[in-house]
Amino acid sequence: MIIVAFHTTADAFGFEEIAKRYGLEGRLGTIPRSISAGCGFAWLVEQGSREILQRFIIQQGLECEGIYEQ
Amino acid sequence: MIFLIYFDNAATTLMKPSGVAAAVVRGISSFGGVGRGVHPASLEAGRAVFETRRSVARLLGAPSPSCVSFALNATMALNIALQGMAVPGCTIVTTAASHNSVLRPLNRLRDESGCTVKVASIKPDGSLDFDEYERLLSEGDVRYVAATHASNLTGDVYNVARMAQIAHKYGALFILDAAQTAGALPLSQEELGADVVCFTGHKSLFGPQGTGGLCVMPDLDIAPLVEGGSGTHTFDERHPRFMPEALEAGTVNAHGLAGLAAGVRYIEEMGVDAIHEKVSRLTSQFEEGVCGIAGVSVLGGHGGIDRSGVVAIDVEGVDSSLLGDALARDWGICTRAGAHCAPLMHRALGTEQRGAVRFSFSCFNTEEEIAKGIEALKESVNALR
Repeated sequence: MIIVAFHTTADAFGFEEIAKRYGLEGRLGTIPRSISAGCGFAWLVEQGSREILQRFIIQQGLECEGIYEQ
Repeated sequence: MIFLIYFDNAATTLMKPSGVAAAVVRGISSFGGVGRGVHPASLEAGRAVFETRRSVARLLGAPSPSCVSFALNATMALNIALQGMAVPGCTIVTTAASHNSVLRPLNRLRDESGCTVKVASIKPDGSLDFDEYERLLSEGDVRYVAATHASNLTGDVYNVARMAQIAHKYGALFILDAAQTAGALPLSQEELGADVVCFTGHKSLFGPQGTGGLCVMPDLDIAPLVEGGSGTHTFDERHPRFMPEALEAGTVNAHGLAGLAAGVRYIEEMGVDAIHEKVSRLTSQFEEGVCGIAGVSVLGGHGGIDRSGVVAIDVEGVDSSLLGDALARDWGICTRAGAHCAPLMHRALGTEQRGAVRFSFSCFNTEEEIAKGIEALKESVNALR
Protein backbone atom coordinates (compact mmCIF):
# COMPACT_ATOMS: atom_id res chain seq x y z
CA MET A 1 0.00 0.00 0.00
CA ILE A 2 1.17 3.53 -0.76
CA ILE A 3 0.39 6.12 1.89
CA VAL A 4 0.47 9.89 1.50
CA ALA A 5 0.64 11.68 4.85
CA PHE A 6 -0.35 15.29 5.41
CA HIS A 7 0.57 18.08 7.79
CA THR A 8 -3.03 19.25 8.16
CA THR A 9 -6.58 18.12 7.65
CA ALA A 10 -7.01 20.97 5.16
CA ASP A 11 -4.15 19.58 3.06
CA ALA A 12 -5.82 16.15 3.11
CA PHE A 13 -9.14 17.49 1.84
CA GLY A 14 -7.41 19.66 -0.72
CA PHE A 15 -5.57 16.57 -1.95
CA GLU A 16 -8.77 14.54 -2.09
CA GLU A 17 -10.53 17.16 -4.15
CA ILE A 18 -7.80 17.33 -6.77
CA ALA A 19 -7.34 13.54 -6.77
CA LYS A 20 -11.02 12.99 -7.45
CA ARG A 21 -11.04 15.61 -10.16
CA TYR A 22 -8.23 13.82 -11.99
CA GLY A 23 -9.49 10.30 -11.27
CA LEU A 24 -6.49 9.37 -9.13
CA GLU A 25 -6.87 6.03 -7.45
CA GLY A 26 -7.17 5.91 -3.65
CA ARG A 27 -9.17 7.21 -0.73
CA LEU A 28 -8.84 9.14 2.50
CA GLY A 29 -8.27 6.89 5.51
CA THR A 30 -6.57 6.86 8.89
CA ILE A 31 -2.80 7.13 8.78
CA PRO A 32 -1.16 3.93 10.08
CA ARG A 33 0.23 4.40 13.58
CA SER A 34 3.61 3.06 12.42
CA ILE A 35 4.04 6.02 10.07
CA SER A 36 2.81 8.91 12.13
CA ALA A 37 2.32 9.51 15.81
CA GLY A 38 -0.65 11.65 14.90
CA CYS A 39 -4.25 10.68 14.39
CA GLY A 40 -4.70 12.34 11.05
CA PHE A 41 -5.73 11.48 7.53
CA ALA A 42 -3.74 9.80 4.83
CA TRP A 43 -4.39 9.14 1.16
CA LEU A 44 -4.31 5.38 0.80
CA VAL A 45 -3.63 3.64 -2.50
CA GLU A 46 -4.00 -0.14 -2.40
CA GLN A 47 -1.97 -0.81 -5.51
CA GLY A 48 -0.21 1.79 -7.56
CA SER A 49 2.98 3.52 -8.46
CA ARG A 50 4.80 5.75 -6.00
CA GLU A 51 6.44 7.57 -8.91
CA ILE A 52 3.09 8.43 -10.48
CA LEU A 53 1.86 9.75 -7.15
CA GLN A 54 5.00 11.81 -6.65
CA ARG A 55 4.72 13.30 -10.12
CA PHE A 56 1.04 14.10 -9.54
CA ILE A 57 1.79 15.88 -6.25
CA ILE A 58 4.51 18.00 -7.83
CA GLN A 59 2.46 18.82 -10.93
CA GLN A 60 -0.54 19.92 -8.87
CA GLY A 61 1.52 21.81 -6.30
CA LEU A 62 -0.02 19.79 -3.44
CA GLU A 63 1.25 19.85 0.13
CA CYS A 64 2.09 16.57 1.85
CA GLU A 65 4.26 15.43 4.73
CA GLY A 66 5.62 12.36 2.99
CA ILE A 67 4.94 9.29 0.85
CA TYR A 68 5.38 5.85 2.40
CA GLU A 69 5.02 2.22 1.32
CA GLN A 70 3.83 -0.64 3.49
CA MET B 1 -46.24 41.51 16.69
CA ILE B 2 -44.91 44.67 15.10
CA PHE B 3 -43.35 44.14 11.66
CA LEU B 4 -39.64 44.77 11.79
CA ILE B 5 -37.66 46.94 9.44
CA TYR B 6 -34.10 45.85 9.97
CA PHE B 7 -31.45 48.56 9.59
CA ASP B 8 -28.75 47.07 11.85
CA ASN B 9 -26.87 45.06 9.26
CA ALA B 10 -23.48 46.48 10.30
CA ALA B 11 -23.93 44.56 13.56
CA THR B 12 -25.44 41.34 12.20
CA THR B 13 -27.37 40.70 9.00
CA LEU B 14 -30.80 39.36 9.92
CA MET B 15 -32.08 38.54 6.46
CA LYS B 16 -29.95 35.71 5.08
CA PRO B 17 -30.15 33.80 1.81
CA SER B 18 -32.42 30.79 2.34
CA GLY B 19 -29.57 28.35 1.68
CA VAL B 20 -27.75 29.45 4.84
CA ALA B 21 -30.22 28.04 7.38
CA ALA B 22 -30.69 24.92 5.24
CA ALA B 23 -26.93 24.28 5.20
CA VAL B 24 -26.70 24.64 9.00
CA VAL B 25 -29.61 22.24 9.51
CA ARG B 26 -28.06 19.75 7.11
CA GLY B 27 -24.71 20.03 8.86
CA ILE B 28 -26.03 19.70 12.37
CA SER B 29 -27.91 16.58 11.31
CA SER B 30 -25.02 14.83 9.62
CA PHE B 31 -21.58 16.14 10.62
CA GLY B 32 -19.08 14.42 12.87
CA GLY B 33 -15.97 16.22 14.11
CA VAL B 34 -13.65 17.68 11.48
CA GLY B 35 -10.36 15.81 11.47
CA ARG B 36 -11.43 13.69 14.41
CA GLY B 37 -11.70 10.18 13.06
CA VAL B 38 -11.91 9.00 9.49
CA HIS B 39 -15.48 7.85 9.06
CA PRO B 40 -18.26 9.09 6.78
CA ALA B 41 -19.64 11.67 9.24
CA SER B 42 -16.20 13.13 9.92
CA LEU B 43 -15.31 13.18 6.23
CA GLU B 44 -18.53 14.97 5.36
CA ALA B 45 -17.79 17.65 7.94
CA GLY B 46 -14.20 17.96 6.74
CA ARG B 47 -15.24 18.36 3.13
CA ALA B 48 -17.76 21.04 4.07
CA VAL B 49 -15.18 23.01 6.05
CA PHE B 50 -12.66 22.70 3.23
CA GLU B 51 -15.28 23.97 0.77
CA THR B 52 -15.82 26.99 3.06
CA ARG B 53 -12.07 27.67 3.14
CA ARG B 54 -11.95 27.53 -0.62
CA SER B 55 -14.94 29.81 -1.17
CA VAL B 56 -13.74 32.38 1.39
CA ALA B 57 -10.24 32.36 -0.17
CA ARG B 58 -11.76 32.92 -3.62
CA LEU B 59 -14.07 35.72 -2.47
CA LEU B 60 -11.45 37.59 -0.45
CA GLY B 61 -8.59 37.05 -2.88
CA ALA B 62 -6.45 34.97 -0.52
CA PRO B 63 -3.74 32.88 -2.21
CA SER B 64 -5.18 29.47 -1.28
CA PRO B 65 -7.64 27.67 1.05
CA SER B 66 -4.72 26.83 3.34
CA CYS B 67 -4.33 30.55 4.06
CA VAL B 68 -7.79 30.72 5.66
CA SER B 69 -8.04 29.94 9.40
CA PHE B 70 -11.41 30.03 11.07
CA ALA B 71 -12.32 31.77 14.31
CA LEU B 72 -15.52 32.73 16.11
CA ASN B 73 -15.73 36.23 14.62
CA ALA B 74 -13.56 39.18 13.56
CA THR B 75 -12.78 40.06 17.18
CA MET B 76 -11.23 36.67 17.82
CA ALA B 77 -9.44 36.72 14.46
CA LEU B 78 -8.02 40.17 15.25
CA ASN B 79 -6.89 39.03 18.69
CA ILE B 80 -5.09 36.09 17.08
CA ALA B 81 -3.29 38.36 14.62
CA LEU B 82 -2.61 41.31 16.91
CA GLN B 83 -1.25 39.21 19.77
CA GLY B 84 0.40 36.55 17.62
CA MET B 85 2.34 39.04 15.53
CA ALA B 86 3.48 41.34 18.33
CA VAL B 87 6.73 41.05 20.23
CA PRO B 88 7.36 42.62 23.65
CA GLY B 89 8.26 46.28 23.35
CA CYS B 90 7.32 46.62 19.69
CA THR B 91 5.64 49.66 18.09
CA ILE B 92 2.22 49.33 16.49
CA VAL B 93 0.24 51.83 14.41
CA THR B 94 -3.54 51.97 14.11
CA THR B 95 -6.12 54.63 13.27
CA ALA B 96 -8.82 56.42 15.23
CA ALA B 97 -11.39 54.64 13.06
CA SER B 98 -10.55 51.35 14.76
CA HIS B 99 -13.18 49.34 16.60
CA ASN B 100 -12.56 48.18 20.16
CA SER B 101 -11.77 44.75 18.70
CA VAL B 102 -8.50 46.36 17.59
CA LEU B 103 -8.05 49.05 20.24
CA ARG B 104 -8.50 46.89 23.34
CA PRO B 105 -6.08 44.10 22.34
CA LEU B 106 -3.55 46.81 21.41
CA ASN B 107 -4.05 48.57 24.73
CA ARG B 108 -3.46 45.25 26.45
CA LEU B 109 -0.20 44.85 24.52
CA ARG B 110 0.71 48.38 25.65
CA ASP B 111 -0.11 47.65 29.31
CA GLU B 112 1.22 44.11 29.62
CA SER B 113 3.96 43.78 26.97
CA GLY B 114 5.50 47.24 26.90
CA CYS B 115 4.34 47.91 23.32
CA THR B 116 3.94 51.45 22.01
CA VAL B 117 0.64 52.09 20.24
CA LYS B 118 0.42 55.08 17.90
CA VAL B 119 -2.91 56.27 16.52
CA ALA B 120 -3.33 58.14 13.22
CA SER B 121 -6.11 60.74 13.41
CA ILE B 122 -9.42 60.86 11.64
CA LYS B 123 -10.42 64.34 10.45
CA PRO B 124 -13.86 65.82 11.27
CA ASP B 125 -15.13 64.85 7.79
CA GLY B 126 -14.35 61.20 8.55
CA SER B 127 -11.22 60.97 6.40
CA LEU B 128 -7.86 59.57 7.51
CA ASP B 129 -4.99 61.99 8.07
CA PHE B 130 -2.57 60.31 5.65
CA ASP B 131 0.26 62.76 6.42
CA GLU B 132 0.15 61.82 10.08
CA TYR B 133 -0.18 58.13 9.22
CA GLU B 134 2.99 58.20 7.14
CA ARG B 135 4.80 60.30 9.74
CA LEU B 136 4.05 57.72 12.45
CA LEU B 137 5.46 54.98 10.25
CA SER B 138 8.49 57.03 9.25
CA GLU B 139 9.44 57.38 12.93
CA GLY B 140 10.67 53.83 12.48
CA ASP B 141 10.63 50.33 13.88
CA VAL B 142 6.88 49.71 13.47
CA ARG B 143 6.08 46.01 13.75
CA TYR B 144 2.67 46.24 12.08
CA VAL B 145 -0.24 48.46 11.18
CA ALA B 146 -3.75 47.32 12.18
CA ALA B 147 -6.41 49.26 10.31
CA THR B 148 -10.07 49.01 9.52
CA HIS B 149 -11.21 48.87 5.90
CA ALA B 150 -14.37 50.86 6.66
CA SER B 151 -15.51 52.75 9.73
CA ASN B 152 -18.31 50.88 11.46
CA LEU B 153 -19.66 54.30 12.52
CA THR B 154 -19.60 56.41 9.35
CA GLY B 155 -19.20 53.82 6.59
CA ASP B 156 -16.18 55.67 5.19
CA VAL B 157 -14.04 53.21 3.24
CA TYR B 158 -10.35 53.93 3.55
CA ASN B 159 -7.72 53.55 0.86
CA VAL B 160 -6.18 50.51 2.47
CA ALA B 161 -4.11 49.58 -0.58
CA ARG B 162 -2.29 52.91 -0.14
CA MET B 163 -2.05 52.33 3.61
CA ALA B 164 -0.54 48.86 3.08
CA GLN B 165 1.91 50.24 0.55
CA ILE B 166 3.10 52.91 3.00
CA ALA B 167 3.35 50.32 5.80
CA HIS B 168 5.48 48.02 3.67
CA LYS B 169 7.65 50.96 2.54
CA TYR B 170 8.67 51.37 6.18
CA GLY B 171 9.06 47.63 6.80
CA ALA B 172 5.82 47.12 8.73
CA LEU B 173 3.28 44.35 8.20
CA PHE B 174 -0.34 45.26 7.47
CA ILE B 175 -3.35 43.72 9.23
CA LEU B 176 -6.73 44.59 7.73
CA ASP B 177 -9.95 44.56 9.75
CA ALA B 178 -12.52 43.71 7.08
CA ALA B 179 -15.41 43.14 9.49
CA GLN B 180 -17.51 45.77 7.71
CA THR B 181 -16.45 45.05 4.15
CA ALA B 182 -15.96 41.31 3.54
CA GLY B 183 -18.81 40.41 1.18
CA ALA B 184 -20.00 44.02 0.94
CA LEU B 185 -17.22 45.48 -1.19
CA PRO B 186 -14.81 44.01 -3.74
CA LEU B 187 -11.78 42.93 -1.72
CA SER B 188 -8.66 41.06 -2.75
CA GLN B 189 -6.03 40.35 -0.13
CA GLU B 190 -3.35 39.82 -2.75
CA GLU B 191 -4.20 42.97 -4.70
CA LEU B 192 -4.45 45.12 -1.57
CA GLY B 193 -1.17 43.78 -0.25
CA ALA B 194 -2.59 42.97 3.18
CA ASP B 195 -0.51 40.46 5.14
CA VAL B 196 -3.57 39.45 7.16
CA VAL B 197 -7.27 40.02 6.50
CA CYS B 198 -9.64 39.47 9.43
CA PHE B 199 -13.31 38.89 8.65
CA THR B 200 -16.53 37.92 10.34
CA GLY B 201 -19.18 35.62 8.92
CA HIS B 202 -22.32 37.08 10.47
CA LYS B 203 -22.39 40.46 8.75
CA SER B 204 -22.12 40.89 4.97
CA LEU B 205 -21.02 37.30 4.31
CA PHE B 206 -24.52 36.25 5.52
CA GLY B 207 -23.19 33.42 7.68
CA PRO B 208 -24.32 32.45 11.18
CA GLN B 209 -22.95 34.13 14.30
CA GLY B 210 -19.90 32.27 15.59
CA THR B 211 -18.16 32.20 12.21
CA GLY B 212 -15.25 34.30 10.99
CA GLY B 213 -11.54 34.03 10.54
CA LEU B 214 -8.35 35.37 9.10
CA CYS B 215 -6.59 35.06 5.76
CA VAL B 216 -2.84 34.91 6.31
CA MET B 217 -0.28 35.31 3.54
CA PRO B 218 1.95 32.22 3.09
CA ASP B 219 5.15 32.11 5.15
CA LEU B 220 3.83 34.56 7.74
CA ASP B 221 4.18 32.72 11.05
CA ILE B 222 1.64 33.78 13.67
CA ALA B 223 1.99 32.43 17.20
CA PRO B 224 -1.28 30.65 18.10
CA LEU B 225 -3.49 32.39 20.64
CA VAL B 226 -4.99 29.05 21.70
CA GLU B 227 -3.33 25.63 21.75
CA GLY B 228 -4.97 22.25 22.13
CA GLY B 229 -6.50 19.48 20.07
CA SER B 230 -5.53 19.48 16.42
CA GLY B 231 -6.45 15.99 15.21
CA THR B 232 -2.85 15.63 13.99
CA HIS B 233 0.62 15.27 15.54
CA THR B 234 -0.87 14.13 18.82
CA PHE B 235 2.44 13.51 20.57
CA ASP B 236 3.90 16.94 19.79
CA GLU B 237 4.08 18.87 23.05
CA ARG B 238 2.95 22.12 21.45
CA HIS B 239 0.25 22.91 18.92
CA PRO B 240 1.43 22.18 15.34
CA ARG B 241 2.40 25.36 13.44
CA PHE B 242 1.06 24.28 10.04
CA MET B 243 -1.53 26.58 8.51
CA PRO B 244 -4.47 26.84 8.52
CA GLU B 245 -5.00 24.62 11.57
CA ALA B 246 -2.16 26.24 13.51
CA LEU B 247 -4.67 28.93 14.51
CA GLU B 248 -7.65 26.61 15.06
CA ALA B 249 -7.13 24.58 18.25
CA GLY B 250 -10.24 22.58 19.14
CA THR B 251 -13.13 21.49 16.95
CA VAL B 252 -14.19 24.19 14.51
CA ASN B 253 -17.80 25.32 14.13
CA ALA B 254 -18.43 23.12 11.09
CA HIS B 255 -22.21 23.59 11.29
CA GLY B 256 -21.84 27.35 11.17
CA LEU B 257 -19.14 27.20 8.52
CA ALA B 258 -21.44 25.18 6.25
CA GLY B 259 -23.88 28.08 6.57
CA LEU B 260 -21.10 30.55 5.86
CA ALA B 261 -20.26 28.70 2.63
CA ALA B 262 -23.90 29.06 1.57
CA GLY B 263 -23.73 32.79 2.29
CA VAL B 264 -20.57 33.16 0.22
CA ARG B 265 -22.13 31.12 -2.58
CA TYR B 266 -25.05 33.58 -2.69
CA ILE B 267 -22.65 36.54 -2.87
CA GLU B 268 -20.72 34.92 -5.71
CA GLU B 269 -23.94 34.25 -7.61
CA MET B 270 -25.21 37.81 -7.12
CA GLY B 271 -21.80 39.43 -7.58
CA VAL B 272 -20.16 41.66 -4.99
CA ASP B 273 -20.33 44.64 -7.35
CA ALA B 274 -24.08 44.23 -7.85
CA ILE B 275 -24.65 43.89 -4.09
CA HIS B 276 -22.54 46.98 -3.39
CA GLU B 277 -24.34 48.95 -6.10
CA LYS B 278 -27.75 48.14 -4.62
CA VAL B 279 -26.69 48.95 -1.05
CA SER B 280 -25.08 52.20 -2.23
CA ARG B 281 -28.32 53.20 -3.93
CA LEU B 282 -30.33 52.54 -0.75
CA THR B 283 -27.73 54.41 1.33
CA SER B 284 -27.89 57.47 -0.94
CA GLN B 285 -31.70 57.40 -0.92
CA PHE B 286 -31.68 57.40 2.88
CA GLU B 287 -29.03 60.10 3.23
CA GLU B 288 -30.80 62.41 0.78
CA GLY B 289 -34.06 61.85 2.62
CA VAL B 290 -32.75 62.68 6.08
CA CYS B 291 -30.42 65.56 5.23
CA GLY B 292 -33.22 68.12 5.21
CA ILE B 293 -34.65 67.19 8.61
CA ALA B 294 -34.12 70.06 11.06
CA GLY B 295 -31.47 69.24 13.68
CA VAL B 296 -30.20 66.13 11.91
CA SER B 297 -26.62 65.88 10.70
CA VAL B 298 -24.97 62.93 9.02
CA LEU B 299 -21.60 61.89 10.43
CA GLY B 300 -18.86 61.40 7.84
CA GLY B 301 -19.74 59.18 4.93
CA HIS B 302 -17.81 61.12 2.30
CA GLY B 303 -14.32 61.05 3.76
CA GLY B 304 -13.07 57.91 2.09
CA ILE B 305 -12.70 56.43 -1.38
CA ASP B 306 -16.06 54.69 -1.10
CA ARG B 307 -18.80 54.05 1.43
CA SER B 308 -20.33 50.97 3.01
CA GLY B 309 -24.08 50.84 3.66
CA VAL B 310 -23.97 52.97 6.80
CA VAL B 311 -25.54 56.32 7.64
CA ALA B 312 -24.92 57.56 11.19
CA ILE B 313 -26.82 60.58 12.39
CA ASP B 314 -26.49 63.04 15.20
CA VAL B 315 -29.58 64.96 16.31
CA GLU B 316 -28.95 68.30 17.96
CA GLY B 317 -29.95 68.18 21.62
CA VAL B 318 -31.21 64.59 21.52
CA ASP B 319 -29.55 61.63 23.20
CA SER B 320 -29.10 58.91 20.59
CA SER B 321 -30.56 56.25 22.90
CA LEU B 322 -33.90 58.09 23.06
CA LEU B 323 -34.14 58.23 19.30
CA GLY B 324 -33.10 54.60 18.88
CA ASP B 325 -35.75 53.55 21.41
CA ALA B 326 -38.46 55.64 19.71
CA LEU B 327 -37.68 54.11 16.32
CA ALA B 328 -37.82 50.59 17.73
CA ARG B 329 -40.86 51.06 19.95
CA ASP B 330 -43.06 53.19 17.71
CA TRP B 331 -42.01 52.05 14.26
CA GLY B 332 -40.44 48.61 14.62
CA ILE B 333 -37.24 49.95 13.07
CA CYS B 334 -34.03 48.30 14.26
CA THR B 335 -31.02 50.62 14.41
CA ARG B 336 -27.98 50.87 16.64
CA ALA B 337 -27.77 53.81 19.02
CA GLY B 338 -24.82 54.65 21.25
CA ALA B 339 -21.08 54.56 20.77
CA HIS B 340 -20.71 51.52 18.48
CA CYS B 341 -17.50 50.26 20.16
CA ALA B 342 -15.70 53.07 18.33
CA PRO B 343 -14.58 55.47 21.09
CA LEU B 344 -11.84 57.30 19.19
CA MET B 345 -14.08 57.82 16.17
CA HIS B 346 -16.84 59.39 18.29
CA ARG B 347 -14.22 61.58 19.93
CA ALA B 348 -12.92 62.65 16.50
CA LEU B 349 -16.41 63.52 15.32
CA GLY B 350 -17.45 65.26 18.54
CA THR B 351 -20.27 62.85 19.39
CA GLU B 352 -18.79 61.35 22.53
CA GLN B 353 -21.60 62.68 24.76
CA ARG B 354 -24.74 62.05 22.71
CA GLY B 355 -23.55 59.10 20.66
CA ALA B 356 -25.19 58.55 17.30
CA VAL B 357 -27.92 56.50 15.70
CA ARG B 358 -26.56 54.21 13.02
CA PHE B 359 -28.69 52.96 10.16
CA SER B 360 -27.01 50.17 8.19
CA PHE B 361 -28.46 48.52 5.13
CA SER B 362 -28.15 45.27 3.25
CA CYS B 363 -29.11 44.13 -0.22
CA PHE B 364 -32.23 42.56 1.29
CA ASN B 365 -33.61 45.99 2.27
CA THR B 366 -36.02 47.70 -0.12
CA GLU B 367 -36.67 51.24 -1.31
CA GLU B 368 -40.04 51.11 0.46
CA GLU B 369 -38.31 50.31 3.77
CA ILE B 370 -35.92 53.22 3.24
CA ALA B 371 -38.86 55.57 2.60
CA LYS B 372 -40.54 54.32 5.78
CA GLY B 373 -37.30 54.85 7.70
CA ILE B 374 -37.08 58.47 6.52
CA GLU B 375 -40.69 59.12 7.53
CA ALA B 376 -40.12 57.50 10.93
CA LEU B 377 -37.00 59.52 11.55
CA LYS B 378 -38.74 62.81 10.66
CA GLU B 379 -41.62 62.17 13.04
CA SER B 380 -39.44 60.80 15.85
CA VAL B 381 -37.00 63.73 15.68
CA ASN B 382 -39.88 66.24 15.69
CA ALA B 383 -41.39 64.54 18.72
CA LEU B 384 -38.11 64.46 20.66
CA ARG B 385 -36.83 68.00 19.95
